[in-house]
Amino acid sequence: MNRADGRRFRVDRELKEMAKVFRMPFGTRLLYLYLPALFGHARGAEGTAQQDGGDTEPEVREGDR
Amino acid sequence: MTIELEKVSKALHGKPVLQDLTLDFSTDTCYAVTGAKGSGKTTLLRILMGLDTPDSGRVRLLGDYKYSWLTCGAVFQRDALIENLSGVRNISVIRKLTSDKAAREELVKLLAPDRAELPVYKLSRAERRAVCIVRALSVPADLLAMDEPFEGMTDKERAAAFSYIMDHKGSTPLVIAGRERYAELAVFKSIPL
Repeated sequence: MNRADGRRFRVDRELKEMAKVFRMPFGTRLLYLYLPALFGHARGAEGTAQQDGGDTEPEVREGDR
Repeated sequence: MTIELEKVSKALHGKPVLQDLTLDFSTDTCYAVTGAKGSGKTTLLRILMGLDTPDSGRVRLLGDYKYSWLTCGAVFQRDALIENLSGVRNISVIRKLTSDKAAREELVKLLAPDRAELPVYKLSRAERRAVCIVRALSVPADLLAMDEPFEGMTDKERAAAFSYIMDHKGSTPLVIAGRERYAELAVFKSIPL
């Protein structure tokens, strides 16, 4: 789902790639990437530049585990 | 142990970037990938990191690797740092075994101690690259892939960063991609694209 409580959220593509390359555990991704993105706290450079206007993608998928 | 690229080709937006590229990356060897903008340096590193798949050809691991996939310590072209976390935290979050204290001890070798605790969005380009370099070297890896790691650094900063990389890389093959052919990379095996 890319919506929770009506909010749109996404994690920067670059941060997702970083998490993939470094094989960050799912719990760490959830804590530092997905949840902060949901509440608009943590962003990578991409998100800082263009705020929330871009596309939304499914973030937490079974394949991420 | 060797990482072998066999006749790898990749096109981006219909334009061929890599064509029938055959390369070997061996333990204890350093490689400098050089070329103009758009020559395929980043694409090559992304294929090695597993972020892109080649259109044809394959990447093979020859030897006694722990996993069937390649583990990489990476410096990304655009940093890929979590902007509101400090440099120390950006390093410690990627690996449970790395404490903040250990991350700080490493980071202050390249960064002023008072800068290490600032959110990375407050750091200069060179300082951000330093965080990326320390992060890449803080994980166990089969390959170190660094895309323009010295971008924005002065000669002195670059020399310190280069020295840090060489001291910490061990026997892991190192691939540094960049437009500029720095003097430090003269002893590296050259891969012109």
